[in-house]
Amino acid sequence: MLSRLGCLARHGTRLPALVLTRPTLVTRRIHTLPALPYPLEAGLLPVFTPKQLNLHYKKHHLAVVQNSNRLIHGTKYEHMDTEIIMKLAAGDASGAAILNQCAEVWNHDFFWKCMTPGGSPPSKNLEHHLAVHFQSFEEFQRRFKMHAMSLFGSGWVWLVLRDRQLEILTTVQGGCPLLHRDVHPLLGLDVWEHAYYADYENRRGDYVDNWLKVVDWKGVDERFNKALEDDQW
Amino acid sequence: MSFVSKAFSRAARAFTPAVRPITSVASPLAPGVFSDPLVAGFATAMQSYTLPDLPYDYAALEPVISADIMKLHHQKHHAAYVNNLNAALEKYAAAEAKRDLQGMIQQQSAIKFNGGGHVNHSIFWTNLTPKGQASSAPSGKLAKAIETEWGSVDKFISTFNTQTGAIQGSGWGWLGLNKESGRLQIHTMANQDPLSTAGLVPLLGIDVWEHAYYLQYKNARPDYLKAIWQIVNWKNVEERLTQASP
Repeated sequence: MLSRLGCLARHGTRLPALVLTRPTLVTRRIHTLPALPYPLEAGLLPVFTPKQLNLHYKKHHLAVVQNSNRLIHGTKYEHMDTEIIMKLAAGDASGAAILNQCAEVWNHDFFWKCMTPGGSPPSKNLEHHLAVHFQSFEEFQRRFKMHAMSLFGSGWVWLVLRDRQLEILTTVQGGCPLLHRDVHPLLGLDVWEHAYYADYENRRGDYVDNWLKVVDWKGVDERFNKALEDDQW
Repeated sequence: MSFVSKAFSRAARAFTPAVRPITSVASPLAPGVFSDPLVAGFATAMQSYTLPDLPYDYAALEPVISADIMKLHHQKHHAAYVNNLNAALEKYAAAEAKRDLQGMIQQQSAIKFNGGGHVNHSIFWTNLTPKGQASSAPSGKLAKAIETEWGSVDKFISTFNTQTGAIQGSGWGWLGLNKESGRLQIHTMANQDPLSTAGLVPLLGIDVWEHAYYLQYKNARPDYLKAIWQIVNWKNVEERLTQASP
């Protein structure tokens, strides 16, 4: 039924306002590799050479996109929004592989948006809030790096807003911050070995240092303000 | 308690037979520098772990595993596990000497991560052998046990690769012996958790952390798993089975 509505919506048929709830519920979702917000051939210096960026994007991200599509094809998940797939699959014993692949799809989609060539500085407002929760912007960066260094194995490190508090959250393997209650992801760092191995081998610390130089704090700011707004309701 | 008697009781505790087995002498890699001079003198009783040498050259496993990978894997990753293990054990010992239970508990995950990494990789290097020297298939007791469990060596490898390939993120695929039943089992473990924690004796382990294959195979883990069987040291696996069997 929902997919029929989606079909109608795509063909521009006007539907009664009652039927149009959350736009995502009527949108058929097949995962695709998103366009990078910066040119692939240039890499993203100083953190990623073109080789490393290409590997991560064209091999890993594309692979999880393809795997997730293959896994959800012909299942009840096929027409659902990624976030909903994850939440349903999390409660389904046979949904582990779907959950992991979809989580990695969402994570990587988010990851590329967190960076920009040369980075961009945080607003005074965000810096103030970071100082409230982490003593200072520098201390936040130090602690974020510490989480990244102490994450054993594969996973991600996130800056999130939860209950109007800024927190650093780690997820392991194919985990996703959206699976945590009331969490708004603001910034994410991939510390799976594939994310940095070609450029840094096992020197995760150097990777994190360079990554901090390309963080798009402007985007973090936008997500932060939107999250505060969303939390009001 | 006076300073002297404190030192004396600390000394007495240091010379109490250690519960954990001492496996090797202190090495130059982990000189065991201790900040407390009173403990330092007794620390040699607590011997540190060392990075074992590979039983072959770094390039010996080519073309299946490149020399670059072998060098990094051994000199950086395994060495880091050994160094971090020794550091964690040192901190654990210091906490234990002060009867600081919270301090001891705090070191336990580092001991598990890094100790597990050391155990696993030490087994791994012996599980592999240069292509020319590898026997193409298991024989004797091992072959019989594999056939009993999976019907054939090919079926075993295919099952093993499917399960190991499906590990999310970092982990190991193992062929282990269940001593109680006397049967072989395929079992995957996450991160560096040793197979012993699953109640099995490790016979053959394949590392599927990305660092084990990334530089050569990129994200094509199945290709790595397919190729690695060309260099599995079946003799070593058989020896381990014999040692573990009653």
